Amino acid sequence: MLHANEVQGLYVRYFDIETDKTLHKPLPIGIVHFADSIIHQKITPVIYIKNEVFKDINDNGIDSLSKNILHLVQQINNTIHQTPNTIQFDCDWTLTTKDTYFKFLKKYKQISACTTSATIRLHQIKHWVNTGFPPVDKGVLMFYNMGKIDAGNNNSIYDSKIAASYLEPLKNYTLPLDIALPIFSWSIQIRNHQVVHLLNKMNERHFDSDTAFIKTSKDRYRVAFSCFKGSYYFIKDDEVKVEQVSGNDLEDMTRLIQKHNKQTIHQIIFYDLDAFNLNNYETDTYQKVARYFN
Amino acid sequence: MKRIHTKKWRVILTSAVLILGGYAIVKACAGGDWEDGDGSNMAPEAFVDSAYRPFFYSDMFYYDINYDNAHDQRFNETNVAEWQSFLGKEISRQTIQFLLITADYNTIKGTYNFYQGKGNVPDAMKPYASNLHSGSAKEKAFLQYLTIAKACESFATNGVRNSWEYDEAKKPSPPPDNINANMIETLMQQASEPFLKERYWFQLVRFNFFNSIPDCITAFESNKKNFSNSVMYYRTMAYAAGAYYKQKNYSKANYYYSLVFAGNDALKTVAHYSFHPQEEKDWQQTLALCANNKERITLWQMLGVFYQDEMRSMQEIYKLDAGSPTLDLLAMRKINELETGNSKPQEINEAFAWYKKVTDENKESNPFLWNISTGYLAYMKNDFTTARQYFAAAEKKMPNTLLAKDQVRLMQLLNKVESLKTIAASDEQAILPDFEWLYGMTDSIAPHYFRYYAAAGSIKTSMAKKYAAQGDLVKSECFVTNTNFYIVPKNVEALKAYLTAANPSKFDLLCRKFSAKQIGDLWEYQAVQATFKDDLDNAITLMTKAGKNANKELLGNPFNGKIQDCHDCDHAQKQKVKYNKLSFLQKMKELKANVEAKNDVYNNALLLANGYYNITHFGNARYFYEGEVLGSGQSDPYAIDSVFKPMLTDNSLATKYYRLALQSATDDEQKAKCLYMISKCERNEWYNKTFFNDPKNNPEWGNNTNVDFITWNAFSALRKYKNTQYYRDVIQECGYFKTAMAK
Repeated sequence: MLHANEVQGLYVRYFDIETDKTLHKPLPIGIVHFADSIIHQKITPVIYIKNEVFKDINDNGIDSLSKNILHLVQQINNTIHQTPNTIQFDCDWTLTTKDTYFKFLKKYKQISACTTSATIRLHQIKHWVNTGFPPVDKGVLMFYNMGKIDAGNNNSIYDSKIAASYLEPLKNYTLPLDIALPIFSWSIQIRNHQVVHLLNKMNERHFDSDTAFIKTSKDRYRVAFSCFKGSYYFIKDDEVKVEQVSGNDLEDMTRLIQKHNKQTIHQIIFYDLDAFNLNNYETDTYQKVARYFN
Repeated sequence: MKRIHTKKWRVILTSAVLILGGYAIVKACAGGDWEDGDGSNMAPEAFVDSAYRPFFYSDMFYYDINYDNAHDQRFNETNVAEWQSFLGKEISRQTIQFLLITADYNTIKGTYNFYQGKGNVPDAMKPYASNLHSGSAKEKAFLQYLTIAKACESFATNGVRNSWEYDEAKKPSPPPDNINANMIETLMQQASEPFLKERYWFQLVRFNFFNSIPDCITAFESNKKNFSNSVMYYRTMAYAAGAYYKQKNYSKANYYYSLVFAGNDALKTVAHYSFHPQEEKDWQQTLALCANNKERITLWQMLGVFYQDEMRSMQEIYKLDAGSPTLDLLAMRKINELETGNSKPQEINEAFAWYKKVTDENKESNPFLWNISTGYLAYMKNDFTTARQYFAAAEKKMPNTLLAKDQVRLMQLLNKVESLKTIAASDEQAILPDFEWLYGMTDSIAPHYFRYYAAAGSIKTSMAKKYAAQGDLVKSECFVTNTNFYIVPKNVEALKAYLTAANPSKFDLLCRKFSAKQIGDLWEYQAVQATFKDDLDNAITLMTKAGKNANKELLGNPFNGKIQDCHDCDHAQKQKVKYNKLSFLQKMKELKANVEAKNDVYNNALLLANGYYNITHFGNARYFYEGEVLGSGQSDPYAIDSVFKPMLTDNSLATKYYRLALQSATDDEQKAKCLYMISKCERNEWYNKTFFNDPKNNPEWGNNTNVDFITWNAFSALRKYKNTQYYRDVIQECGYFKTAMAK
């Protein structure tokens, strides 16, 4: 599938950073370990940084953080014998952390000489006047997770009305943008109209073939008898609501973006590309989407 | 994967709109932080073994403790006690404790060397040197063991390492001195005492857990038959379970976790946290691994508790062994969950059917729990007769503890009250002793863990509702106060009469104590009402009867009439004369008498107007009206109860007397002043109409009505007095006026 779509680049989350509760300083968690040391696609490391890291950090802290990240990224790069000259930072910054986060981004670019990018969420497009443009070479618009996760009939991953309400200021957005579109799906376990769990990476392929789950509508199942599944426990009469983004939805999204967009989109990133999600789409879906940006 | 609990319930009181008097019951609110047991009537501590305490029903992760952070200290005391028992009395507890818990690796190593005749006692050990017996084989063996144990703590107790060094972050810290599994295994084989052997076995299995999973499993399985069901045995098993889990052998891992859960109380939270069936298949396989029903029952208990499916697991356990005490925790959790009030009637009905069946079959081992729970479920269904029967049966079976006795009494009282259709004097007599007991309860005298707050509140609500339904608004008000009661004058009179009647019954005395308003508060309230009607004679008469309320001092000069309404400024200013509520009224009467006698009308009317202005919410003497009935501390009119808001925000009396002053003004300065004061009243009325009388229009919530800059009628009139000093003062102090005038 990767080959068929001429996938050239992969974005790989290298590690997260959060503030250690005992030591009160930022530390990496969940560091990636590559099973294979040979990867054919070009990797762009992605570093997710929790907003709290930038709340109480001074210039020295920003310096150390940049150096530490660079050092760890280089060590990880060594294990796959690649030297990516691009990097992406994912941080949902707020007005209180904007200054320190932006300082960090500048500093990192300076010491790494990398092409830098930062994730941009929809609310940062809408309120760009306050949230500002991060000092990176380009942004990546995360065009997903638009709604609330609840028992209702909405789709929390993509909702065209919500998306439209955020996109109007896109025409003012001067930072060059790539677009990240969702190709993941998940399900929601519901009991007495309350959300019990988010069932990550579970969709109708899991439930259709399981006699414990009776399909009650296009995207819903009722639990026929209590059971374990995917490390979750379901009680009889629980409800499961599947949320996903169809090939048509993806095309809708791209039409919507192009309607408000004034600049050229150079890259489309399909978010959460793993074997599970890859198989959800026809091989040519990705090509169809790309055509909208030509 | 624990269920997300939503904190939907704060109280289990219900409110109802009543037909008579047309007012609603006010909910009593539990203030402060949320605690386990808030809103509940049944204390698990009265029914369930305390070993299961972390698993009592709770919104927190674990009941009472929330998160379990005891990993590094959980067995400190046990270890000290076990070593003390092994080593005998010659070595003191303090020494053992120091060696086990405080001493570092180098100190241990140095001390062991000392026992081997090599070197002196290390400095850190010197305070304990007199306690060490270098000839003791047991002590020497203890120290030798500690060199291993302490060395392994370098990776076993330091948790996950987050590091900026890639390799470091992958592996655990290596132990000092190249200590390895072979060394530990050799020591285990060589140890002559079973006590030591078992401990070395634990160290070996744990070492391998952090360094080689297959060896961990081998070390456990090939040696387990040599050891008994001790603390160390289960600690060791827990590591083996973890090793199986890492190999994705979920059935085996979970099976062992269940043995740990059942086998050792301190490890129950550890087993809980790690127990994770993945698919139905491995769950079934786990069940198949069980050697007997007892083991199967543990698994069902864990499923029921950890995955909140108490009904299913109770039913499965009951089939296997109806008398199993494991049912207690499940039964209690379900009751605590159902009493939160979030459940559908169908759920309660189903639960009732089940609990009744179990109770009636009489095969379970905790008839106290089952009878009281069945009764409680009947009560939840409003079947008070059935509830009474089961509560009576529970009483016969209750253990001889104060907590149990009080628990039964509480449930019976709840039931008695709820079952009353009307309340007659005989009913009041009948429930009086229980009321005196419940409402005399305090935390210092209540049995530990007794939950009575919720019932104390819900019973009052229930009584208030029933009294109101039968037309006794006064008693209803005593139980639960409601502002609507106070806008009907005859209600207030009736309450006054009730609070002061001669020969009250004991029940009446209790009601009086309950009443949020005492007699002085009611006189005070009536005095305030009279004041706002400009009936100062009556106000004085009433305020005189208000007791200490009448003597409460106003915070500032109530006769100030400044350009800016700065209450704090007025309160901070030194006052030559301090007024209390009564003396204020007396002064007001004096001013009004002068006005009526046409004595210096301008000054007297002006001061009288200022007084009436200041006792509204807008003025500096809010304290005049503040009290039990009208409330206090409201920072804006939105916070004033809607039934009182019209009175407390009404500027008409102030306006009336400002106009009178204006009419009697003799020069432009005076006229200017009166006009400005009138404009303040106009402004306040505009706010009343535009915002305060309609909460939907709260500007904080985005209402865009433009408040800037309106030219009040009095402003327009004031324009004519441009040449007065007062006008210039207003321009100076009031930017709003300045801007309005410039328009």
